[in-house]
Amino acid sequence: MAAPTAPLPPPWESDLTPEQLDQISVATQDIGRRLFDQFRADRPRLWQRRWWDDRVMAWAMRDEHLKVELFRFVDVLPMLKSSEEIAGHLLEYLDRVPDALPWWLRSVLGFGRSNALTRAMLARAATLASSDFARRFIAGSTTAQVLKSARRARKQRQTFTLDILGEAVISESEAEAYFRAYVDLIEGVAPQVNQWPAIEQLDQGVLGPLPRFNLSIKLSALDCHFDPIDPAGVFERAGERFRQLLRIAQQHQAFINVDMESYDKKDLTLQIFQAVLMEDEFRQVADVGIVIQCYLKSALHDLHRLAEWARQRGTPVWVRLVKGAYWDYETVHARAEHWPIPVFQQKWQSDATFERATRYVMQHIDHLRPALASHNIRSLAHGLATAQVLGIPKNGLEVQMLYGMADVEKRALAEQGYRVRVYMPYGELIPGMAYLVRRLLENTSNDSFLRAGLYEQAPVEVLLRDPLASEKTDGRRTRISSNSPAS
Amino acid sequence: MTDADPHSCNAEFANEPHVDFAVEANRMAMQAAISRVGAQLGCHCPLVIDGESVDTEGRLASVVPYEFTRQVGTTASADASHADRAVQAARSARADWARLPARRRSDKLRRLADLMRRDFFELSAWEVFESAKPWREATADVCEAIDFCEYYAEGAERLAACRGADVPGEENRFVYLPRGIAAVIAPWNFPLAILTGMTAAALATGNAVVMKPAEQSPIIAAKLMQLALEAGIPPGVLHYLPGKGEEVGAALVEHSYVHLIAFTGSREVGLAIHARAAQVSGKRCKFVKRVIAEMGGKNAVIVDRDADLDEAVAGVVYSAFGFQGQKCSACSRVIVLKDVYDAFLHRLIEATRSLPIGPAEQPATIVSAVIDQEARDRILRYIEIGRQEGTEALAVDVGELARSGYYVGPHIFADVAPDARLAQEEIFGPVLAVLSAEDLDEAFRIANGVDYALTGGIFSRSPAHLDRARREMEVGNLYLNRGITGALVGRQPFGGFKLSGIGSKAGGSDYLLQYVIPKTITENTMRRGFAPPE
Ligand SMILES: Cc1cc2nc3c(=O)[nH]c(=O)nc-3n(C[C@H](O)[C@H](O)[C@H](O)COP(=O)(O)OP(=O)(O)OC[C@H]3O[C@@H](n4cnc5c(N)ncnc54)[C@H](O)[C@@H]3O)c2cc1C
Repeated sequence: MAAPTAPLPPPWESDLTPEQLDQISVATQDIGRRLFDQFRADRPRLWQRRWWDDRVMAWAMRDEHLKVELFRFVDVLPMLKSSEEIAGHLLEYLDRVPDALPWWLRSVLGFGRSNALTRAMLARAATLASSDFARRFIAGSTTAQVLKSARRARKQRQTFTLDILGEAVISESEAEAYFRAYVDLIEGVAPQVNQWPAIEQLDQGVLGPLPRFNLSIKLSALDCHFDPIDPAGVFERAGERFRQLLRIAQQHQAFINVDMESYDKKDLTLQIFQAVLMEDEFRQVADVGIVIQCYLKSALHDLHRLAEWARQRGTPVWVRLVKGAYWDYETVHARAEHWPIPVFQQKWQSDATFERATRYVMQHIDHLRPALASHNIRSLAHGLATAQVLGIPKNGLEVQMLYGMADVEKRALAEQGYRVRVYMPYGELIPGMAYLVRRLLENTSNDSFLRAGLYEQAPVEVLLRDPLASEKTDGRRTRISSNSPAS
Repeated sequence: MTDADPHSCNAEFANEPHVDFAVEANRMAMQAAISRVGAQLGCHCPLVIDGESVDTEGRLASVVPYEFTRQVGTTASADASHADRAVQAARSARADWARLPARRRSDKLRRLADLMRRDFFELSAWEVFESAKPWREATADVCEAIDFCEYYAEGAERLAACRGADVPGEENRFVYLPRGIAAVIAPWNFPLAILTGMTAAALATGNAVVMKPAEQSPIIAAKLMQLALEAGIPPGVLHYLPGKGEEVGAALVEHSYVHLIAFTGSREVGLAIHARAAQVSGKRCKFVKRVIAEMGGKNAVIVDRDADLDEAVAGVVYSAFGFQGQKCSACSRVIVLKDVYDAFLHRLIEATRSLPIGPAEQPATIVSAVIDQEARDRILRYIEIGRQEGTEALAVDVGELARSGYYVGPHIFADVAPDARLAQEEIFGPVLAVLSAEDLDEAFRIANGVDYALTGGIFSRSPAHLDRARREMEVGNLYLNRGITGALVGRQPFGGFKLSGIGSKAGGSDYLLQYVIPKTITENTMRRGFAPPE
């Protein structure tokens, strides 16, 4: 049964004037170049761990098949108990891509097949390397550890939002446990964080102080049958837990952001968010945020409805604009089901939508507060330029980035006086694997800005190019890097 | 058709997309169809023989399994005399049908697929009521019926493409002829898809068909009959004979002009049909009756020690309890490597406990009632046996629901021994046996140590272990790192061996060969030393 296609966006309100757009485009180049100058001087050195990480990533990226096998290995690793098992898996995975390995590694692996000592060494090396990667993207395994990371960020004039990594919620007891973990985190940690010294750049918004404690939650973690087939039932269960979290957050001056997950949960998530926050009890709550994923063909349409809703509500909400973390899944899943693919297939379309959405949010700044979540300098520079042209002060917006990614950019923006918020996931490694693998995919994707900009050092003009220019010059899938390897 | 090889896998076959219930319009359409069909419950469906309605004194009643005081409707109940009338009508109609070019027959099946698309949500709603199929299951069954029509339509055209192996002076042709008259004896668990599949395969290859739907799902079958006539299938080549298996079913199996019996159902009945068909072959009828039988399973999923437990638990829960465990492909044994046994079992129990149970018409429902009283009694007996043979790790109480519907809550038995009845016999209900294995060798030994070989699976992240599973697991359909139900036409041809069936594959490229008789025609084209040019 063919699913009807999503409705077209409503008659679209006018974008900014051509003059404003011109100003933005000039300012974008300006801001972008300044950022590049600032952080290309700040490159990792040989003696820093990051330099080695970057080498390993670059190596893994040379071959798509090798990459798949390595990521599969990383994915299973936390489940493996003995070094025999670890080495065994590593050999099995790498055996499938012999041509992608350098000669020396092939011979080490060859030894590993017959020699127990070599196997033990291999296992140890692989475990160290992987936990190193995990530690790069996961800000700690306990609350105490993540608080340390948070403190460290604030010392560098960056702030944070916490995310609890957990297993897929497949039973009511797991949903209850997740909910309790959120509650405990707010009740246990917010009071401490509220004692930390205020930092004007981070804690002062245009309308007054912002909560220092910021938590990102997933609504699907609150209900084990977060299934769009039954919106009413889900609303009853997840909506009630969301209400309780909002209540507790208010008691502790905590900010709650609702993350966005796969496409099938998107409408349900927006619906619960909007319905609950429209209720009398929560109508005044301003310390909340939601995510719009700009790789979705429906992004602008949803944003438009969100603005309309926020206007009626009368209290603004924060909107975290992202491109979206599930691109591969959405594409593969829709293809397998013969459903219309909900995400754009050309990278520039996601980029252009991100920029269009940025302008839209900033035009509706009374109702929607902009949080630009990207590591792409072009996307960010365009946002900062738009704010400049529209007269939005630095503390009227924020830039958000993931823990362990684009640290040079974070520093550069913080130095320029922007509020940079670091998304800090934490928790045990097994439940954290899904997150870690998404980060690895993202860092090594052909279309990734970070890959082109940081690992491969593409020229600045190319990196700062207007995504719409890609549409004009190249109808095919465009690559932003000039020297990326063939895959 | 350029590709004349019936064995080639047509990977490009496009399945009917399943319904995306994240789309509001689809939810509303389903809800509306349920209301509409709900208002039509209580209808009566006579037999259809040679295009004519024939009523009988005896009647079959079809009830809503999750609310047994409500009738879906009644049908007439055919006996041996009706079977004979239908077969006689098929005898006079079959020659014309067989002579049609394959393309013309296939076009009618494609038309039938289109009509199912037109009535998509109504048909799904009838299944919700008649079989207690939750929304996703019901709509998937209609999708599969559509797929069967189109897949076999295409396959029959491919078969009909002429094959030759000529040499100068000699012309060789290889053609497929229909077998004649097919009796299609279908089950209630995929009430539209399997009935449609066997029927469409027979029709596409030029046979005439007498349909004997399951006693528990005759109404949805009547809908199929109506649509087939509307699609232009000639009245003489398709007949609808609901009735009791022992009467009309047995009469069809024995009938001297029934050439082929396509059966899907229990092992007991399948083997009986096979035996009976062999007995009468060459005595009452001057040919060897062909039996296509797909029977039960005792399907196992192995959980390796490195498995992704999120995926393994979700995959097993759905495979074991989706549609109340009443699929031939359902998982009824899970074999867990001892290192992860406790962790897996704990999450399995919690996830199963959380399954929404209720009327199939409610969108959230995953587990509804089982098909009838007999099924419930049988399942409850096995639960009793389980209490003696294993540890009752979970017994979901359905409470009040049991008063008005044939509900059985999901049950999990842990520490079941491989030779226990619970680990050997097909239960066909929401009962799952959990077994522990020392290592993979033992896991494979347990998995293969049953009479059946239908579906099976393994969750593992070791390439070497997956390779071993590929080689060593004795099943017709093997699934690696996913649930073991929901085979798609063309993509996962379905069927098993040992006592699960004769080894044929529904929805596969060689399925149609069972419905035809190959014939070789050789002509000497040489006349006094001259032959036509090549
Ligand atoms: C603070 C923060 C919070 C986040 N929260 C969420 C969240 O709640 N939900 C969520 O889904 N994501 C979330 N993200 C993740 C985010 O989606 C990814 O990090 C982001 O997509 C990377 O984009 P970029 O602009 O940094 O990099 P870029 O390299 O510019 O963009 C990469 C992105 O482009 C898109 N893309 C890649 N290839 C194609 C293609 N061929 N066609 C079209 N589009 C393509 C993908 O979205 C890919 O991730 C968050 C990110 C941050 C920084």
